[in-house]
Amino acid sequence: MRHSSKPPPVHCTSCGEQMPPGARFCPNCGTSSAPTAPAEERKLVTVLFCDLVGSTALSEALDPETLRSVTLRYFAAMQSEIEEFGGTVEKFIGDAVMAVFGVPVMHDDDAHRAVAAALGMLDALAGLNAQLEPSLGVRLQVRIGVNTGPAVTGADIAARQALVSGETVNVAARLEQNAGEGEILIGPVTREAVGPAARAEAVGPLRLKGKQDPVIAHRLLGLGEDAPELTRRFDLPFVGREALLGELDAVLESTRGGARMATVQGEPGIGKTRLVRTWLDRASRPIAVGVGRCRPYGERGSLAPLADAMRQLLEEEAGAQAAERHGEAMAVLAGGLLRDGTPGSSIDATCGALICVLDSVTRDRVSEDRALAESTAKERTVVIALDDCQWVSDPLLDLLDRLVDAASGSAVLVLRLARLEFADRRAGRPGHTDQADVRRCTLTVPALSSGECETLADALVEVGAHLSGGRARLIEQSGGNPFHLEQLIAAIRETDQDDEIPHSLQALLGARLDALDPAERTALDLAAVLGREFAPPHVAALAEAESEGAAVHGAFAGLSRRHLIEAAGAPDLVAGRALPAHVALRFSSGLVHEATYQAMAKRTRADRHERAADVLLARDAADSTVAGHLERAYTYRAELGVRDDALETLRRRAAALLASAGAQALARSDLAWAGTLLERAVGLFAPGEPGWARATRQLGEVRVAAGRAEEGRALLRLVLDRTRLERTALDGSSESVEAAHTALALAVSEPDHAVEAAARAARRALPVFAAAGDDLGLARATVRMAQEQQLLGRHARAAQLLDRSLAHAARCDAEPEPELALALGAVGVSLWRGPTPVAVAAGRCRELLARYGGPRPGVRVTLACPLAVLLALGDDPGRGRALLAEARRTAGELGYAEGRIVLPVFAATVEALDGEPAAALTLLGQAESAARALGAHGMLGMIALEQARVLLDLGRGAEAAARADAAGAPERLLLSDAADLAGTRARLAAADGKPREAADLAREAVEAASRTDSPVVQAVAALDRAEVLARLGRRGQAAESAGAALRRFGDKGHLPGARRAGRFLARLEEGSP
Amino acid sequence: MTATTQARERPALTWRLVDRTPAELPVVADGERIGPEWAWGGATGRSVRVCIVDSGVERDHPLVGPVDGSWAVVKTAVGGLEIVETEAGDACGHGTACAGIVRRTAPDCGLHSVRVLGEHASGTGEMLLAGLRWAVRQGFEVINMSLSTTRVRFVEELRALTDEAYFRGSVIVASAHNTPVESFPWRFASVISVGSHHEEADPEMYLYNPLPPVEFFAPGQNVQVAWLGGRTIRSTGNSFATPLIAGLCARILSKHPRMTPFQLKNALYLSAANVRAGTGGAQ
Repeated sequence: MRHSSKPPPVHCTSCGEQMPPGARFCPNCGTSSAPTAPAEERKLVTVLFCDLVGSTALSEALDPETLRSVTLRYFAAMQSEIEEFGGTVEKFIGDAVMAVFGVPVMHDDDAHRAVAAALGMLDALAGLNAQLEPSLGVRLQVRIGVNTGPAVTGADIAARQALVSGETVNVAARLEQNAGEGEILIGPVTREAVGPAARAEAVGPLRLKGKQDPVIAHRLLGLGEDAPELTRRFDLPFVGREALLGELDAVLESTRGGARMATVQGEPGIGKTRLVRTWLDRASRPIAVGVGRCRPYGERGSLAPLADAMRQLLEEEAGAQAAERHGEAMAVLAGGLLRDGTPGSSIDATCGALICVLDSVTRDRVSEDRALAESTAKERTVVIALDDCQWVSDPLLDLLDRLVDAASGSAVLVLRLARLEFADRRAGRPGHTDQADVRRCTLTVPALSSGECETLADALVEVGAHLSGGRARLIEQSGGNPFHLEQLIAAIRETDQDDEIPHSLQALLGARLDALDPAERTALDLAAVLGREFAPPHVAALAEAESEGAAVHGAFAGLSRRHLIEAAGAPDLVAGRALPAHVALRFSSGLVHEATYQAMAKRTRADRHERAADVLLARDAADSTVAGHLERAYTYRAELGVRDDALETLRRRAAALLASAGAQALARSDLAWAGTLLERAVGLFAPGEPGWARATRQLGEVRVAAGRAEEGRALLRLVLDRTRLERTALDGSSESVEAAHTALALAVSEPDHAVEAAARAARRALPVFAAAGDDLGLARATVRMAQEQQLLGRHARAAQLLDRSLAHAARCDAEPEPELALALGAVGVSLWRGPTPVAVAAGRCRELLARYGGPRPGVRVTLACPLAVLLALGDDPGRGRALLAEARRTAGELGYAEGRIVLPVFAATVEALDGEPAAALTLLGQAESAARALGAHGMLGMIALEQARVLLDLGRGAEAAARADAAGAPERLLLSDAADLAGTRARLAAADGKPREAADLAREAVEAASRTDSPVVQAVAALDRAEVLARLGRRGQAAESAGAALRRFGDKGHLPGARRAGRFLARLEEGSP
Repeated sequence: MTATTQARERPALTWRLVDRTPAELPVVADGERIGPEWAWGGATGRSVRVCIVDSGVERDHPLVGPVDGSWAVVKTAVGGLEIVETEAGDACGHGTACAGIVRRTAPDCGLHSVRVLGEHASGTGEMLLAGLRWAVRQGFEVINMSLSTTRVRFVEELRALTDEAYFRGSVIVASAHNTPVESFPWRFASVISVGSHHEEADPEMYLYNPLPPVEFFAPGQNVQVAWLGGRTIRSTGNSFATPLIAGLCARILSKHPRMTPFQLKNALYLSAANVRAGTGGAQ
């Protein structure tokens, strides 16, 4: 245990040396210990280059002073356009301007902004030329390149130096150089991002200097509105949202009591616009609709979105009539709102005129349709829907509030669609906190359920496989956001397999992240390093290590209000409330997590992962978790080309911890996880360094156990060669423990796995393990020796060895499950085959299950097998079958390949005992196929032996003989199997009319069986002999032998065997053998 | 009954058999009294080649065993598609799962794979068409398609391909969509379409659906299937009902190699657990 209240050790950011607590400077290299704020970020940016064409000619034509003034006017005009659209001028180079969109903060439409700015720059230049040409006789011409892509950005805006760098910048510059006079060339990602709003024609492929692959550029011809119709898909089925549609209906109904305002809020892409459109199409009462949309930039009157909505309303015929009836009010609107989107004479007058006109529209004849006219609804509701209200101007916000309060007698519904941050703008305004205000309400559009996402994904996917939950990862990643899901699915179609977040979502999510205040952003970044799910105290500890502790403390509530994080397991619990400190939190979607993580520079990620490892180590986190952080820190630094001692230390720490976590997983029989961890460990270790041999050997063992025998054995041989080489170098030192483990594992994994060969290897390894006090090794070696004793039919001796094996296993640090399972399974087999009576043996098996089974699935499987057979021996095959079915399921989940051979063999035994030979044969066939598929040829002999016996009982002699031949040479078999085979062959010989051979073989079987202490083996041999003797007409001896079999079956409590022997005796007495 | 009343009374489409037992779907058929023993008893699928049109098949998976040929539809440099032999295994596990069920059902059949799906078990219509066209022209006796497209723009070409397969004697066994949406090619009469029932007790029990377009129901709930990395998992979907029928087709064809696709469908029909041949037939 590592309970500790000490702060985690701090390492110097420069040399990596551990610093004394509280030190302000590194005693090793003198670097200040003050943590520097992350200076770099990775972003999706759009870079714009604009250069003057023919500036040399210009400088010849103009006086230097004039030239300077002209150039300054040109720069000012360009800068003004760039800044109008939210771009940042990074620098002026000669006559060129370089601007970046996405710095310091990203917008989800940076590409659109850059392209709009580029067009604006051409217009502005035309305006400038109109002044220059008459006075100076010169015309300026420019060419422009725009390119979108990832870039590393610095945070130092004031310095305006190296704000962004990377290939994206180079390509933008090259595009500009390739553009003609007055032309704008845009890069492929920009083209994709701007979408159908832009008119453009393909140019290229262009070979750009410094870039290997040709680039398809586009010549920009014009830019339309980035209306939702162009960027969002409304052709897909509308999924879910029934509750929200109902709530909107209720609000609409309530407009009979006067004007209402509803705010529909949700994160970008969640489907606000789609929801409102769908609802308007199927509204429950007559409506007249006007729609407007707020914009983040551009020169428009502050009330322009409302003006758009009003125009739409008035365009309808009914609206026109209203206009005629209210000439005075219309005149007010025409003089301001409808002219240029401003209040005109006054806000009061505009508000009054609006109410007058809107009220009139509600009272218009609804329709010529008689049925509607006769309906109970005497008037219709005017719906004004304003989208993207997070960008609404303050005057419009005020006007809407006044309108709703004043129009108390009109059926007017103002719908405001907005992103979540709109809530901040509304603080302190009417209806924001006042619950009693019946005129206002807020509806939040939640994430789609995973079922709804599946339906949507089905519609989005062009060709899909028909498995349930097949797109679970995508759906999980999308966080139930339909736009995210759509973009993710579109991206996999484009790139097949690429884990990169689609550009559209990088832009959308990057803008959300950049909109956070610094404390929230830091908290989110640190959380992203910890993982999709994280504990707030860990984030706080990480922040403390960066001296940001106090700042992140209160950040989580704000992040949850923005739907970026939620309480793990209970997303509805918090939704914006203060979060209790003990609640684990998680990112609301995999995408938000990934986008946050990927926005950090690799250097920053590396530093934070290393600190996270220390923070978690001090808090007793699992080795695998800590190791994962160290591994990532190492990988990022290595990628960045860092090569120093600190990096080496990091690598060794990561490798050692991964190996230890892998060994722990292996001890829990978690093969899949152990394989992953050990593979990573082996990837980090340098061959031959301390820890390498053990991790590689264990990986080999995992591969063998999982059925990848060849790969596993290759790893084991690698370790053995290396360790033996080292031993030779050391000259004569005894075999190392590692080599002994490896040699044993190799012997056990031999394709022609022979029990006695494994036992030989075990005996060789035993003294090495004993000398080293390696209990795990001793447990492993003794169990292999016990298995040999079992096949020799010496169950008492086997039981002693197994007791020793269990005792060694119990002395290991963490009780190793695979070793326990192996030993306990063997104990069970001896209980079945050995002298213990069935009832006692079954009881003992149950005791062992109760004591060891519980949390150990591997033990449950290995004990279930012999217990199932014991149950069948006690005439309860039904429970035996159920036990085996359960064991088969568990074994499949554990991934132990051997289970696919062994379990059907046990199941076949149960079937054969229950008089179902056909079922037994099928199961043995399965075992045989599995053994062949796994290359476990050593198991085939044992299976053939069983098959031969079942076939013989079915009277299929020829087939039985063939299987008996396949069981292997008798002299290679151990005693139990030899007795079994001899008995089978004796019966075959008897049936084949070979009396002498039959009698000899039968005697051989009984003789071999007598040297075992297994009543089962002895009884079977005796009964085999009885059958042979009866066939040879020696009825007296046959009865004697059958009597012996009956007694032994009886002693054991082997009921099916006893019945069989009894029936045989009865037939013998009747004279019909 | 006139065509119009028939159309009006046509029952709702049935995609999956849930909450109903085989006993509730008795079908009395005319025809020979043939059954499972006659159709595939003792047969192992030997010398029949089954092609899995899917996400690829993992090499050396213990539940799949040898794969005789692995192919993939890939994009060419000029933007077209071509079929190439591939060493790559399975992009997502789905194809391996289907192959494992075919192998379990018809242990000695030849298994081939053509990859048309990527990770996330999804792909494009163009790739599906290219892969299926290749499989049909290779003359595989059985083609397993545990997938479909929802896009109607591919329907005509798909229909032509499935007809071509039918006349060439390749049996396409196609999975119905998991949810009640229209998708293809399982909707075509030239293929054998499979949905799932939820009886887990007998992994080989299948039923004939008296209310097509889905013609057969096989176990598709919580099925133990082969997966990536030599593992097995439990999974659900019509995807896993389909390869059982494909495997049975392989067994039938290995025993009756001259059977045509329409005879094969008839044999499957008469051998279904809920179908009893009546007395009105030939015998």
